[in-house]
Amino acid sequence: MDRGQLPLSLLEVAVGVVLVLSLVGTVALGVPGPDTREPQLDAYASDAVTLLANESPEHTGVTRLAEVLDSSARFDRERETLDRRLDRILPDNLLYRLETDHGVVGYPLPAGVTTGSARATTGAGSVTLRVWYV
Amino acid sequence: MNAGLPRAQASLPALAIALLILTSVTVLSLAVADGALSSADRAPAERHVAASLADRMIAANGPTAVRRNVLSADRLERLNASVLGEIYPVAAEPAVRISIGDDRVVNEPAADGGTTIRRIVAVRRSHNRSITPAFGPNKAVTIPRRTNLSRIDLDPPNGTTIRTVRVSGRVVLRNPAGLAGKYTLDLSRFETTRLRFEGSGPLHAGNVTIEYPVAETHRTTMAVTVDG
Repeated sequence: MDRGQLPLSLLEVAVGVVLVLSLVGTVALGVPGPDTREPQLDAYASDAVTLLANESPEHTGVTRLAEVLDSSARFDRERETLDRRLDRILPDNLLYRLETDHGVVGYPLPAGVTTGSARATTGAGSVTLRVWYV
Repeated sequence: MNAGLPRAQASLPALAIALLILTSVTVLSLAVADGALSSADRAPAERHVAASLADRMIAANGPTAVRRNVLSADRLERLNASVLGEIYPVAAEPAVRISIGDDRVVNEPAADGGTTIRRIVAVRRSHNRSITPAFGPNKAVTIPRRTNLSRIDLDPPNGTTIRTVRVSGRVVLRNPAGLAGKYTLDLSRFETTRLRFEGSGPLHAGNVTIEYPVAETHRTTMAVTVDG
């Protein structure tokens, strides 16, 4: 019986070409750009902490931040003001979380998002600010 | 025992042609991929220039900075591309645009596209305010705002001598023969200043004029865009 024979090599070359094209297509269509979100977020956090840490104090203390971190009682009284001040400093597309020794101000940290952080040290303790895009 | 079943044969010409096709497809696609990789433009130089320029602008010794992250509105108005070029010369002259909030402070040559770095800054406008207070028997006055300097003009009436000026208890001016005229006092912006004039004789409203700078800051975002 005469049957039409498909040369096996044709099948093999078809599979080989598909494999090669798929591997090369991953780079031929364009290289993705660098992820600049984290350095930008770090810059935002560092600026916000600098602006917060250099304010004049309201009562005693060297700066406003050192004043607020002085004691737990004072921190509890002033945390609303600190929250509002931080909200005004940071742009509207960012959420923030300020961690101090006496407590935390801000929003809970979601899992798996890119965050930027900055740290400031005052005479009364240190704070860490984390920011992320909404 | 084979009964003569037809078997698929890999014929030699078919094999040769297949290998030729595979090799040429591989070579061509590798050339295309290499071209794509080498021409991939992630703009590292633009990003580096934008980040360094932004750092330089907000640094405490930057051309317009009052302190770190606080810029003076007066000096920002005088900033333009040539002033920036003197302070921060950049090789190969890329287009630079610096915007504070919605205003373009520097935009020469016109930069659109490119890489943008944003920083948070506070823009500070200051103007001078002057008070001529009335005095009680203790001849003391508190400056209403915290400030880092003030200019006082002493003009005591006849029969009154001002011998000492104290700032929050510390003596800053002293002359046993009497003080009169204009003086500049250095104060601390971290404490409220209480001025006290000691000497003989009463002081009335208008004898002492105190001028001090009042600053307002508001927070904006500075965007530095570098193109090319």
